[in-house]
Amino acid sequence: MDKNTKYCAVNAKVLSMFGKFLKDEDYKNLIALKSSSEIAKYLKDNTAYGEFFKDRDTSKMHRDDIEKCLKEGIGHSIDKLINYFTNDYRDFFKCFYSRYEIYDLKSIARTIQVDRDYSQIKNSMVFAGRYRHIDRDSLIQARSVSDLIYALDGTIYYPYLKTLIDGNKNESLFRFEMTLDKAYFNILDDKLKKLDKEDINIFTELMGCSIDMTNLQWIYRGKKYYNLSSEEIFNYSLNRGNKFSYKKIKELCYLNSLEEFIERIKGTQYEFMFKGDEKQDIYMERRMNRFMYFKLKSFKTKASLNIATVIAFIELVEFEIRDIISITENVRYGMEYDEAKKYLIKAL
Amino acid sequence: MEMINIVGHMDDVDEVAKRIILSSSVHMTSAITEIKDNDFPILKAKDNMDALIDYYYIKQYASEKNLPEIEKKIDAIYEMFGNSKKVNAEYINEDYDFTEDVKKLNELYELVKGSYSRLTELNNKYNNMMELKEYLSYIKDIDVDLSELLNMKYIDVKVGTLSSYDMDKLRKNYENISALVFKIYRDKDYTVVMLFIPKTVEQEMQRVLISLNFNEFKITTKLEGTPANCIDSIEKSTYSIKQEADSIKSKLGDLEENNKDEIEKYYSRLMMEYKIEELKSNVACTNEFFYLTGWIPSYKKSELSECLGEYESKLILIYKDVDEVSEGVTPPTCMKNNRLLRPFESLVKLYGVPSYSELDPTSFVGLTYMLMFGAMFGDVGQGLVLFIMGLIFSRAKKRTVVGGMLSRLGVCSTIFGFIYGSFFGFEDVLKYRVFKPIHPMANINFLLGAAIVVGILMLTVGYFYNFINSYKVKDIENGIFSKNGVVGLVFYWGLLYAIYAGVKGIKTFIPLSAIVLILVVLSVVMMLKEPLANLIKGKRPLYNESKSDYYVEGGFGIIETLLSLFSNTISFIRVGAFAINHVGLFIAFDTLAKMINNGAGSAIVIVLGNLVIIGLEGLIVFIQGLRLEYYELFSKYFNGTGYEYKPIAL
Repeated sequence: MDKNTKYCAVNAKVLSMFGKFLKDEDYKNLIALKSSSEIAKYLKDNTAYGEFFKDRDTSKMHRDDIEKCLKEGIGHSIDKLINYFTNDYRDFFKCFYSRYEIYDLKSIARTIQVDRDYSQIKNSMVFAGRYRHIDRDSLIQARSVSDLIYALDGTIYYPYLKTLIDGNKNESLFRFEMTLDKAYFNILDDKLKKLDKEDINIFTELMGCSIDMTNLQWIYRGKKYYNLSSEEIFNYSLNRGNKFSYKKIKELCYLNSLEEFIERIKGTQYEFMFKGDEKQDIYMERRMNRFMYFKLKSFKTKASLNIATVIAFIELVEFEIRDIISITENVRYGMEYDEAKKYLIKAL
Repeated sequence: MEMINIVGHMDDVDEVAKRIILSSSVHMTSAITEIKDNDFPILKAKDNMDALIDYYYIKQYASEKNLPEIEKKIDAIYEMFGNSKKVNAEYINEDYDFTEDVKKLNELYELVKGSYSRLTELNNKYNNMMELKEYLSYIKDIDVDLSELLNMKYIDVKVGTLSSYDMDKLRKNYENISALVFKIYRDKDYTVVMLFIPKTVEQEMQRVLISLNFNEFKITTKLEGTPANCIDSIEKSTYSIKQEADSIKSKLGDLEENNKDEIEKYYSRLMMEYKIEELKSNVACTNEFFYLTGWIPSYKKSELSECLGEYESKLILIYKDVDEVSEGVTPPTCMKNNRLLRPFESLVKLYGVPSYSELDPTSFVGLTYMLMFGAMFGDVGQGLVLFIMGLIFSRAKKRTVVGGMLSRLGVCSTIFGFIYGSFFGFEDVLKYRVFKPIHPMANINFLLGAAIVVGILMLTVGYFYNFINSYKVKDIENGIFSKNGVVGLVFYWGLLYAIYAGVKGIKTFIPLSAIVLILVVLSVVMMLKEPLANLIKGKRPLYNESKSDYYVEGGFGIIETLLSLFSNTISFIRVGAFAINHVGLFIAFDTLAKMINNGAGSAIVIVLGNLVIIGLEGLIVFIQGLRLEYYELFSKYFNGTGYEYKPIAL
């Protein structure tokens, strides 16, 4: 299938779906609201997300309920876009469902290990089991990370997870999350290899930056907080980075001190991650996301006949939802507009 | 179809449910919805005030039985015995207490479980040993005593698999790994490695291995001697394991022999229990009583009575006719046809289930479809082939619908084959004494004309179906004034008469201009169908939409009516066309065979030709006949908005 057949229609659809994003006005209004139920009501009445709040009573909705409705929105959008693709491309886009499934699984694992509030498990499951067979009943009954891994027997994640079952209890959550991430990128990579060359290159150029930054963030955290050996840090790093190939990543893993590491990053396009200010660690994720935000926007405006437009849409929708959730969480802190907007991915 | 309401004591609910299921006569509806919609005539109950008092605490029935648990045990037993599940009706028809059965089932399960768990244990050991043997086979040429290797003082040995991704990561970092990695087997998905790790760095290597998702194979069996020796001793062990497993299997086999019937009994009764729970999910209940409602065809009422037996006197049974039920509630449609026409029900259902108030078109569809198929396919030999195929499908493969249809169509094709004088395509084989056959190729005009005449007759019958259906729902607009109504039919025949007279040059019984005038008047009446119908019924407003919209639509409607009358009539020409086409196809193969001029070769071509014709023509004729039924005929009279009568049954 040539590019035109593949992309003209879906690009047109994506561009129209972009039109339904929140406007700057909406952000301003949302930040000014004082409770999560007010935010839910605003979303229901004034935005395109309204249809996912349709049958809900907004006066009783909390952050988690709002997040659930918004995630339904993402699922819905991806469903629509997937219909434009066939065969290998369809399989590739189905990986995005995996990504959200993994978010769900990670949140369940955190609920089990940290909160120990087992009644909340059901609420965390928006995507898990929707697109693939996952035994939801066993998931709900899991009481430890090992139970969770057993419950995932038969899914595509199990081969990656089964070696963790007998592992160290203290590290189980951390290793569970790392392994799921590795599983995700593995699966994504497998499916990516079957696409057209141009699309693979575009993907590497676009998402490669995200992978680079994830690797750098990971190395930083591994050294600073988790005290992992260099081999371990390297083993958990990801392939298919854009500017940092595995050789460079390996070098960075084996550097002895954090300062040397930050020295090396200076001069590259990622130096903003390690500005050296006191809020560096808190802001790092948001800075990374904002970098991706601008990059994705530029790909969106170009609207070229390749995979980038669709990917830009999916990523930007996720950013928007994360912003809405940030705003909802900010309600608790009662921040002013100027302070609050620093925590958003979108640059207002 | 009548609505049935049952009230009874909660103690009896299971037994009553079972009997209702055995009678397979009641189409269940949700009792709670009916009660809410006031279709449950509690207030008209003959006696039993207690039921009325209980009325206010009605709730939906919620199942409390733990059937999945029981099913798991039965599944496990079936797996161990290895035979297939079957429901045997005789075990259900007798009286029984399911709780007693469950007790006995549990006993049986315990008996079997012990042996079974030993069997799975042996199985696991066996698989473990086979895996070990596989790994050893990769290093079988190494001449080292494994017990020495595995019991070194300063170095730990591990064997296991790594995915290709992780192997890749390991390779990229070889120089920093403090261990010896020995690749003993490589696949496209994974690699088997043997690791030699100094015990001093065991801790950190452990962490590295976890981060690589190393899947370790723990060696539990004692290994002595070279790999080749070990392989031998493993083979001996696996042999003895197999022996023990076989003896257990034969023990299980005896158990199976003794308990085969028992387990079938439990399974059948379990399936009945599931159905009972399904029925009960439609039931509303209070602590004392249950309330059940559904639809039952009048002719099945006695059957239900018979099945309920002595329980009937313990229940309150109320029947309501369709007209007594509230507005908007339609009963399911029960399609009852004789054996000859039953397979054609599926053709009707494909388009839609007939509404309750419509005539069941199956008889008309069945007869006309058989006629058209026969006429289009017409060949004695090929018809017989279809007939035999139909028998095979319905007897051997148990697909009665497909089989039934094929055999009936085959018979019709054979009959028409005799009329056309065609036997496997050859037109000179059959000898006739009573009448002369009508060879399609030789009588093209006659055949095409006949097809149109038959078409006109079928369309007229379609009109009559519409009259009856409209009469049943008192729809004047559609039944009398529309293009499918009485006016439409008179218009159609008038038009046909005028054209026929004009073409043939015969004198009509009234002047032609008068006929044309009548036709124009009729078309105006058709255009005014809505206001006329509303006038007669005394309904205001006369127009559902604005007048201008209506008349514009009406005007176009007239043009569309004329066009569709033409096209529908001419459409039937295809019946004749395909009959001729059938012969034409054969002529092609015949010519090919003659060109080959070799006895065996020609025979092969003819056989092949017949097969191709049966397949291709069969499919085409099937579809074309169906299209004529659906588009030309159904669109005149068929609504198909009903839902099917599905009684609850095992």
